[in-house]
Amino acid sequence: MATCTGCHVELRLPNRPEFVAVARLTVAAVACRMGFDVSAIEDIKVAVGEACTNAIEHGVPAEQCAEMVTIACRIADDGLSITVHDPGVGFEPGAAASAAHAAGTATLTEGGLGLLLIQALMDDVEVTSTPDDGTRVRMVKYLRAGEDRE
Amino acid sequence: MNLEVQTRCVHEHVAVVAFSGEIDVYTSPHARAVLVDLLEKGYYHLVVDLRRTDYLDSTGLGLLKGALVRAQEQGGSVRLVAPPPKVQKLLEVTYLVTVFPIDATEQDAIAHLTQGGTES
Repeated sequence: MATCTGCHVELRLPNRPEFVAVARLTVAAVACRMGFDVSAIEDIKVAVGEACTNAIEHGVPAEQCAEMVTIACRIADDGLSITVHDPGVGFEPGAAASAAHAAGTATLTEGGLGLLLIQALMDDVEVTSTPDDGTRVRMVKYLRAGEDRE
Repeated sequence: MNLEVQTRCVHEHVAVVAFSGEIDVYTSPHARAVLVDLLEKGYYHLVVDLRRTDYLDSTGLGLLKGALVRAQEQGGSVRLVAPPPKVQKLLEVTYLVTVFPIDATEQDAIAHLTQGGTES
């Protein structure tokens, strides 16, 4: 998929639970075309699903269907960058990191598991959240040696 | 809904729940309702068969953990059966492998619950 380097794929989905599968399957299809192996594609599917789930659960209310979750994929020569953005009220990323840490211990709670999974399954993860712009989760999965870059 | 749930009550206080398909933010309310219903009916030892669970995310992991907490409040337990490698990986990443006993077969899990003195 070398000729597609720099290509951009963007989805805009209603922030409703039934569309999370659409997001993860679409991004998985992009990753498959790029030559990621099955294990990496599974990692990407889960990470995208978790980011979308966070957007739905902590973003704007589902009744406001005009508000969308945006999933933007950028194909690079060395990997796939995915940004999931919701226009919700945002949260404190430091608190989320603490929740993710707590999720890995005996005191785990359901809410902290999603970010923990994203951080564990993707190579680079950046979470920015502001009251004005909602929450943006940017994550990157790099192609490893042996994975097809054609 | 891309999740099929089958339940079977196999012994006093012991039930098997088999999930086939995907457990995510869309399907987990149904899955959670099934587990809660069994716990409320007194089946506080649950065997959760994950052999045909194709996909499971944090909401699925959360509902399993929630079921475990409720079961333990009643003196019960939750055992998992043969999660596929991709589900096993998530259990390991979240350290839930240290929380749930995992059996190779449904029969092994049932035998442990019915012959291991957990009914006392």
